[in-house]
Amino acid sequence: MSIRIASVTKQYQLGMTTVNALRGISLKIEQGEFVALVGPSGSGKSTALHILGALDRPTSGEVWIQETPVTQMSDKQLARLRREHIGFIFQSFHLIPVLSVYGNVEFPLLLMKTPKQERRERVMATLECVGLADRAQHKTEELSGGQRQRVAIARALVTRPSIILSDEPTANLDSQNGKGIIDLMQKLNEEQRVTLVFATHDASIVSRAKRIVHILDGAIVEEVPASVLQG
Amino acid sequence: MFLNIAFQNLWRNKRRTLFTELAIVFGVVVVIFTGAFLKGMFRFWAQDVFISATTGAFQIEHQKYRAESTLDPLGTTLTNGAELIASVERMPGVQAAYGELRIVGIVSNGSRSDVFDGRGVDRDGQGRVLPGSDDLIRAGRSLRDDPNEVVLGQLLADKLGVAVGDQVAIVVRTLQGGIDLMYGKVVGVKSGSHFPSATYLEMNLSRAQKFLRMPNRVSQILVKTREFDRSVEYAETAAAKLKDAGQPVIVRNYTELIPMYVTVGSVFKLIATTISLILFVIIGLGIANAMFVAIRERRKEIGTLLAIGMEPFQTRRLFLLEGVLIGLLGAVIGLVLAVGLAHAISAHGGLRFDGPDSAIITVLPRIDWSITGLALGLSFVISIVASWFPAAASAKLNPVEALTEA
Repeated sequence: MSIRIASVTKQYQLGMTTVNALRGISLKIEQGEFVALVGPSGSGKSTALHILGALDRPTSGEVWIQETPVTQMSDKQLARLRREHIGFIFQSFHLIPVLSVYGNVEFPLLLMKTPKQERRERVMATLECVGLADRAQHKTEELSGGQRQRVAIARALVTRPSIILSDEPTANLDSQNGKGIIDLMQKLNEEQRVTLVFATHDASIVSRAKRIVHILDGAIVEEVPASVLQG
Repeated sequence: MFLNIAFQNLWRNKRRTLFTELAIVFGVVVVIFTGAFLKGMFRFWAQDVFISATTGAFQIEHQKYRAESTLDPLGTTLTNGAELIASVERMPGVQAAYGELRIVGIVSNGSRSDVFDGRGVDRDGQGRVLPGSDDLIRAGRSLRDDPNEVVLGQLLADKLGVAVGDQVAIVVRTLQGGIDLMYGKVVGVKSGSHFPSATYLEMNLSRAQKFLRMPNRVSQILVKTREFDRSVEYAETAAAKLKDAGQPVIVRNYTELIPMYVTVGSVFKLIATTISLILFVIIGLGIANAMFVAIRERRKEIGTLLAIGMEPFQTRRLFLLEGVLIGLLGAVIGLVLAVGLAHAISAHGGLRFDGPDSAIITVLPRIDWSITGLALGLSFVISIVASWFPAAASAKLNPVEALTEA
């Protein structure tokens, strides 16, 4: 599934001040790409990520997901699009505290009304994939930061999305856990051709991405294949 | 799914849930118990002041008695009194029945005279049907077998200036139109609230029948039922049977016999309903406040749910469900506590208060299921209404704003 945005701007009010988070950016991400959005804090990379994932609406400009325009979609249609095609992974994990590991991963499938037996199989297979099958019945608060992020990844993966968008997924993890998460994501990208878009500062993620998009002050200032940087 | 999450969310913030629940439980208990107390008080008022003292659970009288008794009190009597009473006593739900004969005339102490509107009563039957009638005795005693004994209403005795032990002359017009005179000995004086003590005179039924030349006639048959709560049903059954038997009678139950019964009942119900509404508005504001706080605290969680594909109406449903769960749980706990409390108090003799004339008012709380239904219904409706606005607010959250706020 591809994503394309054209001339996207995003403004929001911060008190009395109007902040121009994005200043007319255009970008196309193809199926199976691994893209890193990089830039300093406040540069607009998270805002771009939210718009790419149909989580936020641009102030102006167009967004297409698989060549379907999404800017005019209703909240309900956007929710359905996210539910069925897009997975989100957040810096602070954002797990549902009242649910177990199993419950958190199962939740998106419940929203999709997946039959119980299939849910069970997919949840356990996904937890197996992230190495947490033996923690299925644990409360998320009993897990380490790395394990919680793996639960978040499992939750994003369980619906078999075409795109996974991730905002600083390793920022709250130590280097070892961070590396494990990146390894896992890269494996998914390579084996299942899941499109990955990361907003990150993490050099270890940047070094593995296939394309790097530099954002500064709400504009794309540089867009280069990783091979150029690595070369 | 939503039910489980809603329940877990309530459980997660135990203290807030506990205090919200306590408010609802308190409200439900107060409403149901107030309803039970008022119903108990209403029953006490109806039973103690009227049903066990003067009216019985229902009465049977000639169908023209109400309309024509003023002009023709003697002509609108039941002619086959003993047989009719015996047949009424065999009817379903009837514990006892007895007859009274209305007797009007002039009573005098020799120097002062006044009109009276009294009763000839079957003393044995009266004791069975109106066990509280003796409580109206303010001086002396009730009638015994002596045919010349009379009991006067307090005000009538005062007007005549007679006391227990004095003799009075009684003049009546007989059924045949003649005038008759008897001398009676005052053995007791009666009064009570809603008791016609300014005109009341009581003598034995057999003496009254003989005095008026009306053997075996009664004006009314008063009935005591086995189960008070089914009295209206028993009265309807009796009316149907008497109609089938071709008797020219009507049956009036205690709700028709007691003055202002419906009005007083309505006032009690209005009080309970008003208390319910006030309490539940307060409870509703409490639930709404708790839900708004919960949504404020869980904005990131809502943002996450929206991000992973939950639709806005589903977040609304989740918070509505939480509100309804709180309301229902509180209603059920409150119902159990209130019913338990009412039964426990009733089982231990009820609530006792000092009444007028050194009387003791004993209130046995009785669950009023209409007020209980109102309390349960209101707690359900209020919890939905009170959760609606917070739930709607949750559905309007921008997921990005919710996720990114500090």
